Amino acid sequence: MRLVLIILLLPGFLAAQSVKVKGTIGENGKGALPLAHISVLPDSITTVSDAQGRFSTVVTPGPKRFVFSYTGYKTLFKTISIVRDTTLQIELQPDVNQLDEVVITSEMDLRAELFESTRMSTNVLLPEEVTAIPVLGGEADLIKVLQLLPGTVRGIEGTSDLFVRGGAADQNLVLLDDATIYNNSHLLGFVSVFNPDILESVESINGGFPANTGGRLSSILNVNTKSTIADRTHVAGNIGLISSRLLVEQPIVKDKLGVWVAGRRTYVDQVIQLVNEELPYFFYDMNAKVMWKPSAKDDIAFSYYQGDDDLNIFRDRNNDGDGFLTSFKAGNNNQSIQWKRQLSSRWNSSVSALRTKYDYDILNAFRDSELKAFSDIEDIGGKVELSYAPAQNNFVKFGAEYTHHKVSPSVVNSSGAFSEFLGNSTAIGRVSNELSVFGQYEWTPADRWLINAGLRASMAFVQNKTYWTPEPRLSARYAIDDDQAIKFSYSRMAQYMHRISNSAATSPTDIWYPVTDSIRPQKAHQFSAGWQRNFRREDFTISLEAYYKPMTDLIGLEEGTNLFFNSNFQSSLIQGRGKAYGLEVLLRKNAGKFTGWISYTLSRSIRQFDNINGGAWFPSRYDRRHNGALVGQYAITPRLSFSAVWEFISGSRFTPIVGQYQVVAPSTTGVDLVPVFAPINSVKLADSHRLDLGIKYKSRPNTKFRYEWFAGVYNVYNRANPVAITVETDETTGVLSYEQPGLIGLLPFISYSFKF
Amino acid sequence: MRRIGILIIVMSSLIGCLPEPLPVNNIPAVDSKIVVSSQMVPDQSVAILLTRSFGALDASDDSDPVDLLNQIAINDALVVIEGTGFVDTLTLIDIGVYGSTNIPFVDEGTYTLYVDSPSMGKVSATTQIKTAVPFNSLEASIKDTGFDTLATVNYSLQDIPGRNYYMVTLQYVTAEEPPEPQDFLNPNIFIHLKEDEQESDGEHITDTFNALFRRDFIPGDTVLIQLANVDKGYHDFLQVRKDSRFNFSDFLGEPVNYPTNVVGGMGWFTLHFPDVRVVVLDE
Repeated sequence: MRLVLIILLLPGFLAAQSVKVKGTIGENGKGALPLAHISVLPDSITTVSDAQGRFSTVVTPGPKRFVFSYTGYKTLFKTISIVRDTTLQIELQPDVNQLDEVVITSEMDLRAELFESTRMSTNVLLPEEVTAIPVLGGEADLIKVLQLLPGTVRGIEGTSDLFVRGGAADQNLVLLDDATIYNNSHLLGFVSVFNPDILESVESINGGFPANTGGRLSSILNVNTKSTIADRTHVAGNIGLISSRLLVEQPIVKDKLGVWVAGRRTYVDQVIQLVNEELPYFFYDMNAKVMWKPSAKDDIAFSYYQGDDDLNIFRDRNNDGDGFLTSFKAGNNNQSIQWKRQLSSRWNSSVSALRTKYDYDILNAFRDSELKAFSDIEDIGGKVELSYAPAQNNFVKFGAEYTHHKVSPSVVNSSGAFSEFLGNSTAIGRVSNELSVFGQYEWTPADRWLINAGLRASMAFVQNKTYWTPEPRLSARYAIDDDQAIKFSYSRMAQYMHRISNSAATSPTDIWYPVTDSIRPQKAHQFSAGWQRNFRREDFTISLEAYYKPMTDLIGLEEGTNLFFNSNFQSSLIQGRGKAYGLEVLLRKNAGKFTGWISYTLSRSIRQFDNINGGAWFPSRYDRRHNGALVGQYAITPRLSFSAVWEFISGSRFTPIVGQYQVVAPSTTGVDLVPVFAPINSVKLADSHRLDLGIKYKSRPNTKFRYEWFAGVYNVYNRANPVAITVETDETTGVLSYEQPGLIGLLPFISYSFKF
Repeated sequence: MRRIGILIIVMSSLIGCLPEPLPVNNIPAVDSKIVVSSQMVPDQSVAILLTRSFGALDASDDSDPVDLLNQIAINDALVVIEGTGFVDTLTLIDIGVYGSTNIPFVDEGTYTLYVDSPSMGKVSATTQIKTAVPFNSLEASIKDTGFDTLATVNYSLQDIPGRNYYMVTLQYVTAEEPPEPQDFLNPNIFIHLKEDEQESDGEHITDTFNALFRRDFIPGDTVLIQLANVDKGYHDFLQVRKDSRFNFSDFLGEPVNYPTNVVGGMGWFTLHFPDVRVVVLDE
């Protein structure tokens, strides 16, 4: 009872220790700047100015770092000791050299906040950054940009796989407005499902996980869609080689209620039809969001996403209408509703309810014979989060999260002649419930120190068993001076949902499989240490991080197991251990005519399964020792810019056929050749490197109808970036040789974007 | 005209340039090992084929099997089979093939093979002979589904007590022309594996399977179908072979090294009595 009283009275008691900071923000001598951003650190307060450039907020007394930013103006940083109610008058200077106004100001807010906080190992992206660099097919893709940042390596060339800090492809929790995306790609992995037009911000947490995040071992990718109610109807679109897209933003009640709808569809099948050919494949995405602000303290948003891949091939050998049908359909369907409320000047709450579904269907049919394989996963859940700033440099966040998983993993049904080749599935539907409660506290124990300590207790309830894992989290920041900090973090992570993949590549037909009575949760510890420095005058930042991540109960498959139409994969599931460690460097130039970054990662990732490789440790498939990128944009004029990406990655690991032997065939005549493979992942493929170039031409910024042409070339020097080692026969001499083929060579692209 | 121009740009950019594959120079060398395989014939004789393993670039499906055998056969070995109460030394009867007609084969008996080659070293392997089970009935016919041509096989057998692993194989013999030497290398034998159930001991088991016919059917086409009761180890070896049939692509397939019961070597030493039938297919 006493505790309840303390909790109830505490906010009021501590509110007395707050002070008010108000003021105006404008351009020197030219009046107010409405909707300018003001951030206060370490209180993590963000507010915007009103139409007259006025702002007001409540902070705890003490030294504060203010960040004032506005589109097209230089961001202003100020450290002020606030001891009583204070009034500020802020003047911003126009930034005449800005290449892209929105990117730089918004990014600076997020990155400045990250720098000032205990958080580390986190990359943030904004939509303009995603669309600024040349990519495969000209299809702007946030995953491809993340792959150019430290700690993240890709799998097969051109795909949207993510392997973060030595983890596996299933160890990344991808969230779209808080709802899980189980399959993050279209076109067999070559295009991510995220329509770049709808992005507001992207945050990839690779380490130093706050206690309110969890569920995967290696990363949390938060993709947030636009949340601002448009002031008038806005239309934006893009026509590219792979797909076309359209976004419409519509206010319904000024500043209170708004909606946007966005769609994207492949363009390729329609183009092929122009030459009377057929490409019976397409994908599409449909996103929509309703934003309602019933009061100044409430934000409610409903977000919807539906995306599908659809392939239908009908082969009619005799042209008699009696043919063989192959169809493949896979899709995500997500809904989330979020209600954020400012309960008081110190209390904030966030409540969300979520539904996520991913399924795929494969059908092969001929007359009365059918072979069907399907798999689906559906989550229904919710999350409640409360945050509270009780005193100077103190911050508390706590809450709970619940998810009900319903999984039908890889169901195979065959009938007619197909039943002779493949049996029906023995996989049964699975239900699991995941519950997590968490709390974290941030405080300053001594001058220059900031500590964030938290605990997440996660649980999974399956048929006859309950798993629970305490997940302590700790992060600390030591400020060397205003522009330099050293950070440390420790995270314990648990994962109750596994993705069963082929060892070479992920695919839409991978199987999501929850913990069961016999399949344990995957777990990891992660230790990180880093140094960050801002060079304000030169507008660049540098960060250096090292990490060590031991992992247990990683999911794997017995040697030789094929997932293709596998109706009994469960009997082949095995669990083992892993270790990953590395060093990451990021040097970023944030503003000016030339912007971009240099990233480099030195890392190692190894695995051990009792049933693989005789129980000895072996490199993971994507253990790539060196991973680096040079990314740059240069504004030749305010309307014309040039961009370039050069990427270098050590070759991934591969298990080639190194020998063979001959045995008597299991019949009366003949002999069979049996392959002999090298020890698993023992051979390194050739290093991958690639140069992409792009040039962007924009319309005048002040016109009502604005457009952009973006043209370029992917893989300029046509380098093969190997995916395998194969044995090829010279057709003339019959001589056999090894080769390393690449998938994608030089590929030009062009796209046209518009908005009005 | 403008539309066509746009189309050309779009199409050319979609096709792109496929880059030249890169050379490979870091494949580890493999140690050559003794490879054992065996075959029994219904007249109670056994043939042991001894070869050595070789490099991935030394042969392919298109290689001449006789030339290959000449290169890899082991002809200098002392080959001995030992069972309960006997030891028999096998004779080199052809290139790499050692045989004997003097071995007393007993159902459920255990037999150990010893190989001592001055050039390749020593290996040994042990196996058990399972009680032979013949077909009770066997029918095979051709079925054209309109898309594929299948050979449908219906058979029955009398299950014997204990846990048994039955292997039924089907091999095509075309009616059109005699087989080429290359047809004996990887002859695409269809393997059907059948595990009995505990409650089927002594019962009559009937079973059906379809095997893909790899060419257009010609009246007179013939298949060799054999049934054998094999030990669990050989069954598992064959199961791995069957499971790899979906390895469509070199880089998406899951690598696996096949199990072996040869200590110090490779391959599989098995002794089983097959019931071999020749069936002329009807439509």
